[in-house]
Amino acid sequence: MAAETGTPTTLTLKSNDDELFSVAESAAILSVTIRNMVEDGCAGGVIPLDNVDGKTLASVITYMNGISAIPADEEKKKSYRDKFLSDKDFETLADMVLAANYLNMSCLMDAVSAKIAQVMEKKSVGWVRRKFGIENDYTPEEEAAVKEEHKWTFEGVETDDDN
Amino acid sequence: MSDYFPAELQSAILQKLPVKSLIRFTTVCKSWRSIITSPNFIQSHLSEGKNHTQILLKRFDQTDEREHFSLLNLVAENGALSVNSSSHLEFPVKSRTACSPIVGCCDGVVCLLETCSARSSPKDVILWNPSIRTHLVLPTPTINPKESHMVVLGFGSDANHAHHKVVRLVYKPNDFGAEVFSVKTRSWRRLSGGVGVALRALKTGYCQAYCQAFLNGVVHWLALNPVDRRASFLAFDVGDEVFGEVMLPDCLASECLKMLCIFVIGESLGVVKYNKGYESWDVWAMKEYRVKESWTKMYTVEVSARVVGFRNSGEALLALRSLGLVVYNLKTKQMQSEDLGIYGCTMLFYVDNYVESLLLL
Repeated sequence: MAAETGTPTTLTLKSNDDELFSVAESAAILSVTIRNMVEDGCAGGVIPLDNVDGKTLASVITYMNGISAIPADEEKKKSYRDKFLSDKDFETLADMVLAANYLNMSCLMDAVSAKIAQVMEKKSVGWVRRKFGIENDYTPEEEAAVKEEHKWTFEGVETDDDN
Repeated sequence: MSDYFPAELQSAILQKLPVKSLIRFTTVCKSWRSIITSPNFIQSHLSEGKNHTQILLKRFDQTDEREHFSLLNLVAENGALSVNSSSHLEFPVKSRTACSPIVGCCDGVVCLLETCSARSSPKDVILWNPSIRTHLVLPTPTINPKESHMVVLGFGSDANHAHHKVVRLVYKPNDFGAEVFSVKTRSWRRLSGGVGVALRALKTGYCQAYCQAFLNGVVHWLALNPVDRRASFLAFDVGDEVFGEVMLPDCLASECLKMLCIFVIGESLGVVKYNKGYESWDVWAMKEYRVKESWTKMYTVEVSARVVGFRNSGEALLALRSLGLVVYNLKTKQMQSEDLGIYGCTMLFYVDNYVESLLLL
């Protein structure tokens, strides 16, 4: 963990669309990527985060501040994470998981992937293909055969909400 | 989006999905199918699921004279446990007998005995994964002596949950044989050499229930030392395929085997010792694995009941003749006043902790 200092240090983060953000070092080092930069002494000026856009970075910083304000209480941290992610749509969550992965923030990464899984749970195969941008590489015959084999897993699927 | 959605992130998200969604998503594309069906994915999905433990229940209903399987979600409210949701499980084999004894349950797979065809005698061994509705009837074992013999079965996995095996012990009057069925190779293989310990595992315990306890990659059976007639545990390490002994404290070792029952209690091996007349019973746990001195008597319950099993959190589930399944509350040291609304033949209840898995997919 960071050494105790008298005055809180502030870092400046730059998104890939050139937005600048100030954040307390104590909150920013939740990101192992940023922590390593700080420890290597590369955090003196502006820290460029080439894989994160401004909108997502703003959201991640809100999370960093929110979660680091909570004392070591796993229950409270969990309920903060749940609330933080509760109103986010799939696209935002997808950007967030990519950012969490790049910033190496395992707690956010874990929570966001769990949330994405929760959103996907009852979705149709078509919905998943569209959201993940996946091309169906099965022939119609192959797809029908795989589907037939596991027919029961298609029961209770929600109607698509993205059309 | 998949253009910039790295494969390891896709896999991390998929690992958090329940098995029903995962199986549906094998139709998304070929690469998802190969991710989801790969042994590595199945293994890591299993460790994700450890936090969502359910209870596997088998009960015998006297009204239709059949066994029923279901998965229960229990929730604690105001200190009392109740059934939050229960889903019926369709048994995959048309049952020819009223009773399918369960050998054990490990990583979402139930090992049980059933007569699958008119020819099958003795009963077939079946591995059944109810959450993906798949089952496997094991091929005929290789050790089938003509003379009278006793068979003891065990089911479990190695400590890494990568290899799942059924172990079959065959006791003849003056001889012993053992063989192992591996889920990976789908075949039986004889174990060379004997047990190495003189212990004789017990086929069934109190109430004729099969009695094994699977913990930390090791299957344990209640066993008898034929020389000094003392009770002990025979242990089989599923990974190394080695037998060993786990000692009971002296006061339990000298007990009559009929009064003892083996369990996993939380993270420990445990024993329920019924007292004379079955009017009360003691719960023992081995606090430190394989340390004989760490056996501790946890509590005594003065209720005439059959202990069916223990939840991961430690509460005992009891079967009472008049009430069906009842929870013994560890905090109040009392039986919960209301039952769980689960009724059936007292002697034929089976419960175990259950996590869904993709094994046998």
